[in-house]
Amino acid sequence: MRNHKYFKHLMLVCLMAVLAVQMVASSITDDYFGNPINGYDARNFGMGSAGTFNDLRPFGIASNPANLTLMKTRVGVAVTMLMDRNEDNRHIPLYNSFDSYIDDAVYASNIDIYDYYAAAGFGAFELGGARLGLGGFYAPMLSFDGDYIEEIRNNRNTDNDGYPEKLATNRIENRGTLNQKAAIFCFGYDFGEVTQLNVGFQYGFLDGKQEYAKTIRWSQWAIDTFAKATGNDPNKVLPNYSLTTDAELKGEQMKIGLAFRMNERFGVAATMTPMAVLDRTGNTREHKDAYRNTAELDQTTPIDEEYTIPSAYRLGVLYQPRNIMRTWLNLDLEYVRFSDISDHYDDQFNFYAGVEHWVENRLPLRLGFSATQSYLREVEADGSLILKRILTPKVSAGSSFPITKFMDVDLGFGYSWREYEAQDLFKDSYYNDKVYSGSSSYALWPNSYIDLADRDWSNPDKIRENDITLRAALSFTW
Amino acid sequence: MRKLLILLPLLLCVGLLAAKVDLNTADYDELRQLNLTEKQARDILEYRDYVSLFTDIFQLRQIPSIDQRTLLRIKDKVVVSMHIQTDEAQARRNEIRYLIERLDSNEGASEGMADVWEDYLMTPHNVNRMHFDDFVSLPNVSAMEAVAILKRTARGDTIAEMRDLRNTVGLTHYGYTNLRNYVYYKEPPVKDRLFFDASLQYYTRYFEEGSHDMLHEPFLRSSYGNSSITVPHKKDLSYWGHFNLDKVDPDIVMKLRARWGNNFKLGWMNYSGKGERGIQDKTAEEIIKDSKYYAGYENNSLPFLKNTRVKLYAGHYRATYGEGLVMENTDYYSARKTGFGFSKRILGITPDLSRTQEYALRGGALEISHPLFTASAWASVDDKDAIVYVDQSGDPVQVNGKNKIFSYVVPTIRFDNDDMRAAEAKFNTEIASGSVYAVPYINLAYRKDAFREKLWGTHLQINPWIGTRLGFTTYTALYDDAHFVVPGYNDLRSLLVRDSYYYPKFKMLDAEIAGLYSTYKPGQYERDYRRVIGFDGGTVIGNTSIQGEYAELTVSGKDYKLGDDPHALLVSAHTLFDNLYFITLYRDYDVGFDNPYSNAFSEHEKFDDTILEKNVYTLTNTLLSDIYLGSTQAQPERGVYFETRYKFNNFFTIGRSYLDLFERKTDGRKTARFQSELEFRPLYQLALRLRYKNQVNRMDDMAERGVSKTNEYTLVARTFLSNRDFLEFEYRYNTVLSPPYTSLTNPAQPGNNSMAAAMTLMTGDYIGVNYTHNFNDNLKLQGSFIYWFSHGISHWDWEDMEIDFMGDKGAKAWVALHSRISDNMNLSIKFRNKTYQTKEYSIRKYNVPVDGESYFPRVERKENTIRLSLDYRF
Repeated sequence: MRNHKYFKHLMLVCLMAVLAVQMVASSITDDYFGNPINGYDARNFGMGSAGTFNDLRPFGIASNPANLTLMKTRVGVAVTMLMDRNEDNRHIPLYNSFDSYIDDAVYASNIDIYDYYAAAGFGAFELGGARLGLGGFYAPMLSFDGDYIEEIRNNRNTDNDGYPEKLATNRIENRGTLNQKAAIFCFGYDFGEVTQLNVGFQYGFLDGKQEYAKTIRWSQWAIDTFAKATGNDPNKVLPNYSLTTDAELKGEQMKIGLAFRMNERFGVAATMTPMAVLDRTGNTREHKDAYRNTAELDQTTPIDEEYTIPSAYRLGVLYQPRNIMRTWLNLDLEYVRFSDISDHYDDQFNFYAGVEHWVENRLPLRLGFSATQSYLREVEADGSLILKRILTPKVSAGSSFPITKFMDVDLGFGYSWREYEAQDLFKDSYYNDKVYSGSSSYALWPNSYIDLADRDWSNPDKIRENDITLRAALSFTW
Repeated sequence: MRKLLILLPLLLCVGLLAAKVDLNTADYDELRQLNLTEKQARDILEYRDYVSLFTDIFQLRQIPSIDQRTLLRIKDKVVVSMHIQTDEAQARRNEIRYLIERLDSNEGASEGMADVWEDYLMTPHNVNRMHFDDFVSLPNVSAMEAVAILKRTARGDTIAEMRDLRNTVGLTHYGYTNLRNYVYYKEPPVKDRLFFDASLQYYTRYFEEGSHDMLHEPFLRSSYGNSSITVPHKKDLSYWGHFNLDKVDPDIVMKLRARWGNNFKLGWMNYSGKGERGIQDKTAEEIIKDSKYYAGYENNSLPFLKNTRVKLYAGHYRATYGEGLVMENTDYYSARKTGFGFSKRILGITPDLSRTQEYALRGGALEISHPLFTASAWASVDDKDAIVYVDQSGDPVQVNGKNKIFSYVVPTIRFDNDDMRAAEAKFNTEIASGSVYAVPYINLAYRKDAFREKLWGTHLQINPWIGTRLGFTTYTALYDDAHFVVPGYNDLRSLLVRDSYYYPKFKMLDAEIAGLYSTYKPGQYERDYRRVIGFDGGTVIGNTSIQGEYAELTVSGKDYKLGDDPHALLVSAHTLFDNLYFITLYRDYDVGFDNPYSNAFSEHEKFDDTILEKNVYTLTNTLLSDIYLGSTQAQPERGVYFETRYKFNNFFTIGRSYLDLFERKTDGRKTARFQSELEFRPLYQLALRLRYKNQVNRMDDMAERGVSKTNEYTLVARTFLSNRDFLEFEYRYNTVLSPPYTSLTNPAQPGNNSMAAAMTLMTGDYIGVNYTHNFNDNLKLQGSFIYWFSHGISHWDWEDMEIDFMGDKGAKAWVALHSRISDNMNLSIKFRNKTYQTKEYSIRKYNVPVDGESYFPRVERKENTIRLSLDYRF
């Protein structure tokens, strides 16, 4: 076994984070692009978020502005609460005594919970066969939240109930969301009893914050032990480290939508969301304590760049057959032009499918599936970009119950997971105390055979994440 | 959809009817005239549109806005007209929907045959005009039953309807119930029209154990004899790490089929597997190359020739004859495929949209069949994947101006050739940097579309009298750009095994690999083809059918001289009584009979237990293991198989039971395998099953260290609840007495293997529950939970659509929801979670002392899989 650091990581950290007051989110993986948030409409969320054609719930206007007049209601208001539990398990590759790569072992496991709120409302009126509507919503579009804790323990043998000492705590605390405040104008025209065409336009103001903090803090035991080993030399200290980013995002985005109900059975809808280029301003500060013959590092780098949200084209269909359980089937296909960001990216397709049955006594049972693509983006030391495509399958379910004639509560539940490779978040060479002492032997690592070399892409972590997501929405339609 | 509404003239006079409002035809205004509110009228219309047409007035109460008072008020003012569905295709589909569901759920195993059977179900054949091969190609219809019906029709008797068919002497209850849905009598249930099937499957899966281990095995420098060499620990020195196979990557199958009656047929299918590029990342040319498609014409009543039919296909097709010894082209192997019962072959030419890629036939095929004869011919041109000889740069090695090929291969992943070469270059750099291996580079590599195969073949069959047939099948595969070269046994190990240190791993059984066919044998022969000829035949005597096939691969003998080349023989007899059957089967396959297009009965697939399976780490390229993992051929075996089933009465049944006594020909290992099942059904709703399985390897030599004895006991309690709901409990207990594998007999703590041991007894058990709940005709929920603990033993579990392997210990749960969205559309979503612990020896160092801690309790083995299927048929 090459790297004994991980023996001690196996005393993994099980962190139960309390309900964070920030937005939904999930993963430290998506700290650049953020985690796209969808499913503001809990009914639609239970159906795999396949809701480009959605004529039932007010928050359908966020999926497609043309849904506003498609609904044929005068007033609609909805409030949604979103909750997300993210579990992130990081594995190191394992090698057997024949030096063969055989498996992966978890060295850090983090579970965090986040919650979030969104609201929408609209009004519409009829003018003969035509309908006009105005609406708006406030919702988080991307979340940058993510929390991660990893302990570094030395390689003291655990035989005879010995316990490896904690050397340092590595922590990532990311906060922030990109919020959208959008206004919607929609026009609908009835060609007959059922057939209708709706066109909607959405203009949204986007603003958000990214607050990233990545820290390494040595434990008191490590500080004391190191000081003792180095004879309390004030120049020989273990340096703490932090890398923080504070950035603001500002911009606009628009969306054009179309919804066409052909007959009692079929509806087709499409949206086009052009690329949005946001201003990203702020600064990044890197700080590392002084040690031995190295001066303190305290460097602030301003950020002033463009942040691109790629354009997306989405097509959805609704099919309502005759079924002994009243049934809605929604299928959506989305094309995301990641190549808008740069040529390094390939455009991707996302797929959404969902069904709702009224099983008994109008009790709806909703089920859905979605498969979405995203990118893990890592910038190498030489500035080169590493991009890895990640697929996230999701299954969802949901139901609802009416409170009054005009008011419904919808509940949606989702489970998604993803597996991918990523680089070690905190490179091993940092914990090589010989660098800080100048000594030829370790002060903190009892087994001197440990090789504290950085792992690169030839030996990456395997990440397994899963998200359990809940959506609860109260909607009023009249 | 055309619909006819027939009013009920017998019940109501015209005058009365005119005064009443018909709930099935009334429009909004008419409903409002009943003094219904706007909402009530709309709700009735919506109910009619989206839930159901009315069959009775009291159905109104299912609409929440219609209360009892409203119903009583209007019930004398409304009427319900009878609704008859006259779309005959839809009616037929409703009739056979349970059978189609069953076929769909078995599609994984039947690999494309389900399509053919579904077409038969939808547009059945006239039972009075069917041929022998048509009958025996249907599931669970025997040769004796085919003869019984054919004898009737030959006498001029016409089977006029279902009960008439049932009265056929010699047709068993089982045969009748299976046959009746595939045939019609006077008028077909559906007239010729356009049928269209579209299906999408999106699923994520994990590699099976063999593939997983093969892909994990790294290419490492040798430190043998040189302590200064440090072997790096890098994940990307394995295919797994290099190709980032940890990521979730879906399999996607898209299939479209269209046909006009049974005459004109078109189909297209695209399959992209895990680890391969998806359709969105391919060029149009690549999509066409990796897709399967066909256009076909069939006519069951040719002019001038009575009861003669023709099939003509262009594109991809399947060809299957006899017992599958000469020709049955599929990439999928299934053990003990007898060709009887539900383990069938569809004989002749059939269109092919299965996931078979390597042994797919692409070209043209013609078949003419008459009750007295059948003749077919086919030709195919297709690029095939292969294991090829490569030099240190990854370029193909040539011999006599052609690329040197080792073997056909069905790969776990169809890697792109450029990607493969990049990986090999990296691995070669690593291999070359340590002590010198005997083979210091990858010398045999996987290449997609490595050579062009031009194949032609024919099958001629005469049927002198009913039930008796004599057939001749041959095919020749031409290789213009490739030579198959496989050294003899003595030279093979230095080609396959990386270093002489591992040569002892090469054993007698590996002669099976040396038995691979060569087109180039210096000093013996050189040719550009592979030719297989064979004879098949069968007859029916009373309630017994006897059939068999003999096939010979031309190697050093003459093409059309029998007995001078490696051959394969299979003879079987099937005896059928009403409640009892016997199958007796004898097979004998030569080691040198290497026919990639054979798919015959055997207990094991070819290369089972060879170095390609057991010692992958010794190979010059771990991907060579795919030759075993994708093997479709039978292992060279000689043996007798006996199978029976007997239903004593309604209470007791001996389920499918078999005994197989066979010898593996390369090393003479003799094995006995026995399985039996007793079912006790005290009530119709309750069945208790006891199953016992016993297998003894090396049964003739109990002192031999390789002997192993397996006993498996299974108890199943099945309850058939109302509404076709189903609940099942299963408990299984296993023991295996086997040689002392060190990984199993030594303690988990690191240390030397210091204990002497003779044999090891391993035990394991398994408990599971399965439940099916039908909410109604359109919505079905299935779920299963299983927990197993198997100390080194593995279990197989048949799920709703796939079979799953379970080793060591763990738990698994899956839930599947099948929704019939409409008469034409079905949606299934399945989610499965499997959490298990892997073998301890794979996460610890064994046999040698190690420094410090070496036990990893946090190896997470958790698999989430999802399957989405969407089918649309009209």
